[in-house]
Amino acid sequence: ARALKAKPALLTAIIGDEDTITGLLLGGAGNVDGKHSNFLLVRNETPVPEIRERFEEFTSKRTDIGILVINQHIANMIRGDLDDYNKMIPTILEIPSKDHPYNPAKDFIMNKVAKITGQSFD
Amino acid sequence: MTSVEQQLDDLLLKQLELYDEYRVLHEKVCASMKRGFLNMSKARYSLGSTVMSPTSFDMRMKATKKFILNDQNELEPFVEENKANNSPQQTLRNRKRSENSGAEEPAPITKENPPVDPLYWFGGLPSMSLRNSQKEFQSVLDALTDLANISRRMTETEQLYNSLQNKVSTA
Repeated sequence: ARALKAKPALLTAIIGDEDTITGLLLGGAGNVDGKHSNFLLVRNETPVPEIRERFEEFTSKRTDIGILVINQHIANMIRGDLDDYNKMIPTILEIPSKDHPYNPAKDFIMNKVAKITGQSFD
Repeated sequence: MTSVEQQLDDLLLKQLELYDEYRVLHEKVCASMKRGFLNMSKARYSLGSTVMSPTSFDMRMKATKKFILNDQNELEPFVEENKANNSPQQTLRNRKRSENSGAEEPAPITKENPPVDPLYWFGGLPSMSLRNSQKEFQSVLDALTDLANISRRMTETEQLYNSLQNKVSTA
């Protein structure tokens, strides 16, 4: 770890369910500046357009996000947006939730392997 | 075999190695998260689900886990040098220790001076389960930086592969 530098410090944005948000905020990832937070708590009733809107905000509108962490079961709801994503920053990472195990075949990072090997991992 | 085709093969191997590295680290992250969730459930059982819920979040929170992009274009943890890091932990136990050592007494936890550590969002005396849960999720956040770096290297490899492949197809 390095001390304070001229480069701006980047945050980890989180799109997750209650347990994931609670855990990662407990770990020190949460940040609220006025009305802007770096996380979206997704409940059963959270509409998909709202998830897409916050995904767009974290990946395109904000400049202080370095990593976007998203539960895989939520990522599946916006799979099209993830497949079209090709930026380096923020880097998107899919993680499991408490109730939904991780399926490596569904992770969008598999695209990076599939495109080169020419294989489909579905 | 031409050198471009050899490079394509090398890039393919590199991508597979990077993915292997990614999977190993990702599995560690998943295992940490599982332990974190388990400890969180234990803490929630003793605290109650209404206490340990998003309603207890301090909405003035500031992230303590941040990172920067270094000169090699890789993410690395960022440590903010400020008084908060050097001040003694605001716990009842450390209050007595700081009195004995002659250090400045930490400010008591009051409404006007709320604790910064998320551990205290759910009560003034966090249980061992909650502390363990926090440790697990802190290690998850540390590992996410390494995962992100591997993912970025995979993206670079993919882009290089595509540009080389275009050269081969247009040649």
